[in-house]
Amino acid sequence: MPRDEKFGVLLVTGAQTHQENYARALAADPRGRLIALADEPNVAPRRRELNERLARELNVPHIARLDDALGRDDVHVVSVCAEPDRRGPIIVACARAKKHLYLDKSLAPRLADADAIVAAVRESRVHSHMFSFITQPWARRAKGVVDSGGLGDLVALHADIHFAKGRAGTAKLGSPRREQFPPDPLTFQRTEAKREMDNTGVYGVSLVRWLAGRDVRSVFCETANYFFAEHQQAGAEDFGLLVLSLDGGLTATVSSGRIGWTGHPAGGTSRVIVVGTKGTRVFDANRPRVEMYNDQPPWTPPPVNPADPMGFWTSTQQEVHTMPKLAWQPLAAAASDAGYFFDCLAADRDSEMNAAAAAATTEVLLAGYKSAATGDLVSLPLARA
Amino acid sequence: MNYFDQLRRSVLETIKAGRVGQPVFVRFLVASDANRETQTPLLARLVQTAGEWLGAPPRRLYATVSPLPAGASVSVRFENGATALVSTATPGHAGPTIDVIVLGNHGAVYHDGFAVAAESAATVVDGHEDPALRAAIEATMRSMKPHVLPGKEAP
Repeated sequence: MPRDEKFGVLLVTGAQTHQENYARALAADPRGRLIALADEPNVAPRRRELNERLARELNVPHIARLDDALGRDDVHVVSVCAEPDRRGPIIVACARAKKHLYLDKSLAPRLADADAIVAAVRESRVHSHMFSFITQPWARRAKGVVDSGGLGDLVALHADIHFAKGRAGTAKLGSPRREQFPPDPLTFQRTEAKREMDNTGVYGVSLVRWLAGRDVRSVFCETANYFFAEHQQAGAEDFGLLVLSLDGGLTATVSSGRIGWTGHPAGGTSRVIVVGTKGTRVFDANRPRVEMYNDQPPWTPPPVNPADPMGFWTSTQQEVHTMPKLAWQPLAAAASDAGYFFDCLAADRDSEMNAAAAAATTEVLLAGYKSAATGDLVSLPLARA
Repeated sequence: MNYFDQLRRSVLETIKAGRVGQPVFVRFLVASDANRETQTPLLARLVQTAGEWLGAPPRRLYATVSPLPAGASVSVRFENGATALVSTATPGHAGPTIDVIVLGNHGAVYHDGFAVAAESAATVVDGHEDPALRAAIEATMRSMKPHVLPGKEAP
């Protein structure tokens, strides 16, 4: 813990990224204090404008050169939300500057980036944490049951992560998607589309690995374009499914994707089914819950915001007055992922979703793209260049 | 008509009425008392039912099976590009369970199997499983590799 008992947080990259949420969560914790917002000096004018916008909203200085910000002694933690194709070298630079790392998901779109991040974190002996679902109450309940042996020996895990956002029904259906490997890093996040097997699948794969406490040995994957013309035109899948074989004969399946605003009464399915020799249980972000039905106007999808047609970001959803879905209210409040990371820092212990775990998840996802491109089972580890 | 048949028909009617658009993905989990003998026919029955809902025959299968009973999964790509994940599992704490998600391009169908107790696997397997499908599932389980069924177009 620093002397003033607060961790100074540098934000890398601003508006229209998940930094909109992470920054506020980090600032809301009594152990966190926002210091500044910075980025690489050569970012596009639009990115710089968005960075300056979030800095203004958060009332922190904008520093144009990341290196200058990393030189500050009052920065202890860096929250990195740069676009996926820029992420790797930025995270490495932050680690080498001896800053702890709060990382957006997924870790990086290139295996070489993921490896470099793991090496830099290890050499610099900093703590790291990637945002995931493992800090949420339903996932912690699942972990408790798995670790207690209450379901006997673990046989299988089945995760479903579906985001109910975006205006669906525009994709051209009828033929399988042709996947490419390696995937183009620039296709992981565009204004109109993200690669959803990665973007939502990262939650399922990281959850499965964490629950099992075992490594993935082989991957079979299908990617698809089921919902959005935007994804199809951008060369990005909107859906994917994975079949994983883990050490010890354990199997896992993951379905993930963006399914459209009207596909779920809440924000979408986020759940894992745990199969043991003594029984099967489901752990779900929306269970247990209360359900409410009343005479207020029913929920309707928001108009499309051209700046963010898929509803990725909080600010752009607010611009089109997106209504909250209120019919389902889970009993357990969402936990603060940022708070979990501060717990780790305060105790000088590593996160259960550190850079190494995040990189292992990235390798599974990249193996998924390879499998989807070839139609074959892919063994891990992947070959390094 | 048993519980599985009611569920099968209900989902099919919802799809045929156009209430979820074109169905594109099925997640099917049956937590039951299936054993090594009944597991493959059960998986075949579930894949057939998913195909009925998705409106196309299966083209590519990949299965994993655990060394323990009742822990198998099959990934299926259908001729029209739709997909399914079909799994068997040990019974839930409330007894056997059939859990279903069907995603359409304009909506979704959910059957919350963990909220109800269902029937044993014997009532799902009715002896009408496609022998070619059963053989394909057995082939992918044996080889531990994807298996392609004959069809109109390359998968």
